[in-house]
Amino acid sequence: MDLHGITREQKQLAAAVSMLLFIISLFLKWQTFGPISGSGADLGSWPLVLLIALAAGAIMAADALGMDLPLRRLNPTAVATYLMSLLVFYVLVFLFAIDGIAYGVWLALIFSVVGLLLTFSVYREDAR
Amino acid sequence: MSRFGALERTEILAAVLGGLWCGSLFLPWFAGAGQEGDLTGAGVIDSWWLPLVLVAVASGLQLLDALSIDGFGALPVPAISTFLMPAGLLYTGLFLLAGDELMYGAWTALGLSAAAVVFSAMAWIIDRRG
Repeated sequence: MDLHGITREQKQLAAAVSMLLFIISLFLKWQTFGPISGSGADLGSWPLVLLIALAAGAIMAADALGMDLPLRRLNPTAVATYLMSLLVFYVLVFLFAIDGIAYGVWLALIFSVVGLLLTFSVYREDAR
Repeated sequence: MSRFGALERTEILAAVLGGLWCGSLFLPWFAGAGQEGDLTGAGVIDSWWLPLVLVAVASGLQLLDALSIDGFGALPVPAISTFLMPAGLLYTGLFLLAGDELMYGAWTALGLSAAAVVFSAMAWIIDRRG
């Protein structure tokens, strides 16, 4: 498989899809404690993370589709990379803290890291 | 005349604010009931050390960069610190949104982390302008 053959737009769209999957993973099981289980959306701060993921995904999708973004002088890819790094931080905070980790946290970690790597890869390409 | 330029002064300010945020983790953030007493920012969750490390690294780098004569050479300290510092703001924001019965420690942490982010970003902007 030749990863170098993937275009910039394909990477951006894949990153946007990763954000969508991250959002879905918020509603999956994050913790099991005996008979009790909880999702990522049971955490009081989940709307903030949802907004961050939506913004990051939207920026990537809009840039891939050639839409003008109202970010003035800010580099859209840099902004999306930064937002996705916050998502990775968020998942890690709970990964290290929760007892009885369930599959939802791992999926959230995978999708946020994949999104971050793809977006960072586009950022590096642009910087060159 | 100060021996520090605008960049160094801003970096020192951001580093001090970041250091104070680390200290504010040990102030009471939430009023507790019963025997457990008030809950500090470090008592909220087991992974409290993660933002502490990130903010401490950001603050330490800025302080060393400001105080050393040649800085860190090729290492873009203002950019790295601007990237790391918001970890404290996000951590504080997450628990402010999620918690009830907030105490002064939480608001202190919010103010310190927000100010640290602003001054880190200012240092980065000054650095980019050269």
